[in-house]
Amino acid sequence: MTRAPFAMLLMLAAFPAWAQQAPAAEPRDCPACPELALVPPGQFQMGSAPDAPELEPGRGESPPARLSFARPFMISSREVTHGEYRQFVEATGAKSAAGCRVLSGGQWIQDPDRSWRDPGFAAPPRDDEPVVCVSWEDARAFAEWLAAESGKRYRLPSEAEWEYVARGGTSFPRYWGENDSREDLALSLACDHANVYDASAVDGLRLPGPNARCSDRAAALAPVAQFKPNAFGVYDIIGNAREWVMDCFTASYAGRPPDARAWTWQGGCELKGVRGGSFASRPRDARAPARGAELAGHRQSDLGFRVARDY
Amino acid sequence: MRSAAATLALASIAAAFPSWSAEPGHEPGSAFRDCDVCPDMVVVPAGLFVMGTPRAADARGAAAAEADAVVVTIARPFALGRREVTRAEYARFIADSGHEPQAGCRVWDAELARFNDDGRRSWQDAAPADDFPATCVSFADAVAYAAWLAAKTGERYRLPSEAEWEYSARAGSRTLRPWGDDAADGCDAANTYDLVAASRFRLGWPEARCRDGQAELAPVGQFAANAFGLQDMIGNAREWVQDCATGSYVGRPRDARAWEWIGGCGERIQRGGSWLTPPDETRSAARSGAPAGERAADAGFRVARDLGARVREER
Repeated sequence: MTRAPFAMLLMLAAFPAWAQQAPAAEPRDCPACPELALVPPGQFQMGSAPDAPELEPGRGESPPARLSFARPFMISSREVTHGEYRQFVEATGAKSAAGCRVLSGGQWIQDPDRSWRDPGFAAPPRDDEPVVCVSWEDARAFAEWLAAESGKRYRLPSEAEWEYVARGGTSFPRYWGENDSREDLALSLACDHANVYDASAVDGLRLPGPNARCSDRAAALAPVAQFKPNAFGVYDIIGNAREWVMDCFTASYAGRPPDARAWTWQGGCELKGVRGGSFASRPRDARAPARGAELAGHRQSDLGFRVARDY
Repeated sequence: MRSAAATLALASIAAAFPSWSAEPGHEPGSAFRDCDVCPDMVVVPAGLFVMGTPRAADARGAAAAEADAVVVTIARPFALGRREVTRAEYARFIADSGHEPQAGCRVWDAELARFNDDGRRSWQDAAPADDFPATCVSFADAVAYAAWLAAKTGERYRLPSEAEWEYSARAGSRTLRPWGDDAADGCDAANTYDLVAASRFRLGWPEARCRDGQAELAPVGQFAANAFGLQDMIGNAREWVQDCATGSYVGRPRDARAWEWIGGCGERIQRGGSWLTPPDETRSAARSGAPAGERAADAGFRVARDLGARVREER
């Protein structure tokens, strides 16, 4: 319990110029703007050592990269919610193609009748649940709308920013200090902090992979901020919905920018980074350094996003 | 034997891309020179190829990116320098353009079998004569050379992309090396770390079990051309290409474009290896990265040029 503020103190002590900025919630930039957390500058190791537990080969999280963030930035403390996204659609008339990949009988299937308005869960989506079934383009359009509404530089977080936030000032792959979940053997500590594929989700989802051996009392998507936040005051960064990041995806960190910038190609890219795991993620995939990617136009009922803002 | 295979490779590629096979004056396989001091250029046909090493586990020395093999389409023919840019060609550029490269180079000391950073050496004294590849050139020097050629001729000279480079080095081959799978069969085609070099200096890696007649950097054009008519793609001097260095091909362009980051990059790819390169890395798909500012005595470049750009502009 005391570890989080302590980590914060350490970081603030290292960067005294920013120490006056309390990491508490800031006032909202506009009525529809999300609550933001201030993330201090610092350095961290992105990715995992080659001998780290639970590495998934072929995703490029190892060898790691040493990154340095010179400036603070802000990130929404919650995943963008269904209610916030609806305000955006109502205000802009943004249209998105119908169809979403949803879970049915333990398998992901493309369902042309599903969309962010109805992602196909047992109950209709609540306003305080994360919006899902949104593509990378949808997410970016939402951030640009926030930028226009507020006059602030809203955008998607870079992959580096995302992982820095997800680690919450720790060097652990899970900010609650769980280094190796030992999927099938150990009781998991995840369920206080994250909505992952756990004992309470098995009956409803019936996925083939192993589940976390604990109960988070959420069978599928959960309202945002139901679980404990990390040291930056950020909720659900592991689990609940996977999150789009700004970066293009390639399966290695070799050659990536050594700072907070998003890594994007000239001429654009098809594959975008996806982070954080979801309610359907096995313990191995619900880690800060675990990487994923989807085509930019992909929509899935466990895939949403959060926004970042330049400070 | 070799020329028959070459003709066959060219014919099959030309047949697959009929609309590009008959551009007047620039038929695939033909050669041209845009000015007296311009490099000799070869027209490389359009086509597609597998970039990387699909069965990387079987190929010793294959790096991670090679295992993510991708099919790349070279949609139109382009021109590539037949040889590495020579010291004479580079000297003409320095004299004409006023480009002033920084002094300093990682020079090769054959007696001690190692590289030394020498602040006084430069491209001028890196090679023993005018017909050797220009080495001790940084990525920016190479780009400046291509820009100078472009300004001088009005044609779109540039560095080749990594995809263009590998496509050209393979020249229709699907083997590990342009001449086949075995490094020991390549001594008439490439100046690599071979028995001759190994008899002069011992490096910490094995040599190709054949004799290429050269211990160190060799004059350009001494070795047999590949099926596209290009020389020294493998060996002699490493060659800068336009692409940023990365460790994986996942997400890379599937066409002739260079893969570059928005905001630039500190490391660029070099291809082909040099006279010091061990057999594991004298493969068509082998790649390495180097800091863009590095000048080394075993690294040079060749230029590429777009074809038909003017014709399209006039339409």
